Amino acid sequence: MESDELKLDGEKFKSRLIMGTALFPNIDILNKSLKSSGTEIITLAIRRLNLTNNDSFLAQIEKKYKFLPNTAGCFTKKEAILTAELARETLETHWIKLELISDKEMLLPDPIELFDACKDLIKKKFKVFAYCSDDPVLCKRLEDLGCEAVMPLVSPIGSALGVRNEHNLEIIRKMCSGNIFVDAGIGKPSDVVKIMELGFDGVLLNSSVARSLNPVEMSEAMKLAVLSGRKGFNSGTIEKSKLALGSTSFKGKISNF
Amino acid sequence: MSGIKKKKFKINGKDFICSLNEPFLYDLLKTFLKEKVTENHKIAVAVNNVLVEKKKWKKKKIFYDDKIEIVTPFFGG
Repeated sequence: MESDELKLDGEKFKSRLIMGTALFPNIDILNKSLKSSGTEIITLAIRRLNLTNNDSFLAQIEKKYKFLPNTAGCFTKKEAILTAELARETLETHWIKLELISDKEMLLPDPIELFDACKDLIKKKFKVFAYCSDDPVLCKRLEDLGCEAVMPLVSPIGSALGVRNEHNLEIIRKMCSGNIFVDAGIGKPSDVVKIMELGFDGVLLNSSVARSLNPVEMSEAMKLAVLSGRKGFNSGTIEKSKLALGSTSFKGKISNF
Repeated sequence: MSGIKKKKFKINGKDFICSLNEPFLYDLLKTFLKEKVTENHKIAVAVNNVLVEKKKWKKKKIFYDDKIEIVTPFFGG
């Protein structure tokens, strides 16, 4: 069977599930959840050093993961670029998940500021993973700009509303040939299956696992959902029909009476 | 009296007042972090919203009221 590994920045990954590290009940559950998810890439934030807290993030996380720092909470290009530079300095990675939000209530990405920041960060030799809205044209423009991955939401961050506009996702997948991940809004494993069946390269999730009743089990469910959806996509799903197409042949049936 | 004047800086959004022999970033970090600055320390520093690379800490002069941000990796999604 042909290899179906994910390629990012010249590196190969077996898992197509990127995991966030926030909101877990405790560090033990976080580490167990990461393990059961099978993830190889985890996201993290860059925050002010707290001298009263001796437990540093890096001291508590297993060292085997590839880090994808984010610019969470940034509202302006200036803030995001400085955060990316600070992340590169402290973690020695040129990967950055670029988040530029427009408001505190819906946390929706600001496409104008985002596009501008992407241009600058790519010039500064960053590999940008751009978190954006599910606008097909914007996704295509970000891909053409040279983003390492484009990461549209399916609904607002942490909302668990799942896929709200499947048609947009279909168009995005048709228009973009590079790495496209879904980043935000996933609630259930079935959302993940749907996204992967559409041919997306992977998903990034956090809240749907961390806030579930059993994060360790839920992260395994998400792993299986990614695998299931991907296998379904690779196997070539059948076309939809408005008419019934029976599976059992009428040939040889006893006479109508 | 040593004659060293106390200086005020803004570190991570809060006033930090200290006496420094030399007005260099490295010395300030050492004082602020209580001598804990090591090569392995996973922190990054910006002065007045500009990144200062670790290799430049010893040569970076700092001034009264400079705004200093010291950051580190944290849990995030």
